[in-house]
Amino acid sequence: MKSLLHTKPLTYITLLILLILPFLVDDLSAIYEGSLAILTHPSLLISDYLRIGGLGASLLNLALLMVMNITLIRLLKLKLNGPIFAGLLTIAGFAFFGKNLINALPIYLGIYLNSKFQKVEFKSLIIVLLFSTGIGPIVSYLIFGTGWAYYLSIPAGLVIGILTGFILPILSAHMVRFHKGYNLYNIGFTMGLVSLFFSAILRAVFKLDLFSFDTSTTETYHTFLYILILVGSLLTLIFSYISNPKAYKDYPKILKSSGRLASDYMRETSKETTMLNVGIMGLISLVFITVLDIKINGPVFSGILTVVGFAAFGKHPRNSIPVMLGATIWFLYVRHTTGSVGTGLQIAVLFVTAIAPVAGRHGFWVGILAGFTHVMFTPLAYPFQGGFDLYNNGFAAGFVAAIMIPLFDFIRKDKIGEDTP
Amino acid sequence: MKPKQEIKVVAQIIQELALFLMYHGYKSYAISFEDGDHDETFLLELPNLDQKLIEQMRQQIEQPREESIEAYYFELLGDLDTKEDLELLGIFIDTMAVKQTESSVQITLKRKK
Repeated sequence: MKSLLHTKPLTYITLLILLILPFLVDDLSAIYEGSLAILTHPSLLISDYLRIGGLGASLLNLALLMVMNITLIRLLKLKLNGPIFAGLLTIAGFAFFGKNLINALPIYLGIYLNSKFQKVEFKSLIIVLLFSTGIGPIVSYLIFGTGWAYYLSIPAGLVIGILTGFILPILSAHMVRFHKGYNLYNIGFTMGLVSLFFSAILRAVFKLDLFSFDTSTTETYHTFLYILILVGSLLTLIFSYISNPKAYKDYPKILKSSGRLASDYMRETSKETTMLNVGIMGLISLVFITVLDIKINGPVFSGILTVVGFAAFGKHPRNSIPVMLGATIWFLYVRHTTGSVGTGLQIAVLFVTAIAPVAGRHGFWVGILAGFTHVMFTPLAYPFQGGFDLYNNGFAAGFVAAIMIPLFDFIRKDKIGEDTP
Repeated sequence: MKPKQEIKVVAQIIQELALFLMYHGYKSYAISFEDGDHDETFLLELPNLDQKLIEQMRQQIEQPREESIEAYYFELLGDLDTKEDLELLGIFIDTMAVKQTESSVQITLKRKK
């Protein structure tokens, strides 16, 4: 039974299911029209592909993005590790929320050209590549959202996409020092700064309005997606147990880690122990959205999948629950005072786990404070970066981590001994 | 990796090792470096080293090197925050060998070119 978690067969079976699934939930014409709507949408924050294209087209978008990225990983002869797993699950999630083949390809080409320019192997940039399409909306917006004629908008989108892909590897390696690796969505932070640059030019020079799009979401597919995530999480736990019934013995190693970049749990423990954490984090996400009565739409789906993906690369219950609770406090306060909570705050309860390493490093109470602070930052970060960076929480998390870590390191500066469990 | 980045990585590995030892209270140690034809060697020499610490180093460093992560996270090397987190160093190191005598401990870390 050990072959259950063997990467190749499991990957092929998963891809096959993903490719079949859209055609089980929608008819061909609905999928075709939905796919067209998704591919030609400007995709700025917040674009719920479930509302724009429907369930079948969103699932097909997810399947195609996964096939493309897994094929690339296979061609580069890379083994599955924590960051690659996190990258793939993030892509899967954001396939419902802003990423598609059209806005991904120019960015990938830019990263490829960067590898040629630097004379480094393309595979050495795989981590940046897998997270890079978080800035995909810059391509989609320039082509489909500006209102320019296609002979202008298509070259503009392609050139800016390639240029963005080219500069991302250069910037992201340096930005990681800003928050010392305590923001798990480092590329989200990097892309926020790049987006800020584009947004400033497009708003000031071209007088474009980036905030006039319909950002409404749909909750029609809540039950289907809830069951999908629940079954997926339980299956992951079952596979982990069947593959290695003693996988749980290494679990304390994961729980003890701060989660700071680059905590690759597949490397530090095993695939089975990591999958145990993946399943648990999936269930924790469901508990939070159930208790807070958050319905699953495209953005919430992407939030859950990102939490699940990063369970292989820095997130675990001990460092994630405190920051989620911190976000929950603000969530409950807003709901109590205004009667409703927007999509941005709903997804922040999940994406706040970008700063899970802050709780991993400084404990439960600092984690709550960090989570609480983070959800106040995110609405400010969105207009700042213009909606081109889908990882808006990663952008905000960079600032939160950069403030919290030096501050609490200063308070604890003479207490190195405390680090020993 | 580009030559300039490689030089930075080497310097940061040395700093990471120095911080790790000092966080654990070691006041006397020597770290030397040699740039060979096929690999880079870091030699760590101490009068003594706690067996538990050697085991911790083994667990965290003796993992397969992860070249796909190196280019992205090398800037975090040399900025060790706690006594526990040596995993990042392990990403950059291929092999670790320990030689113990009654009066000294030598740890050799190799990074293939």
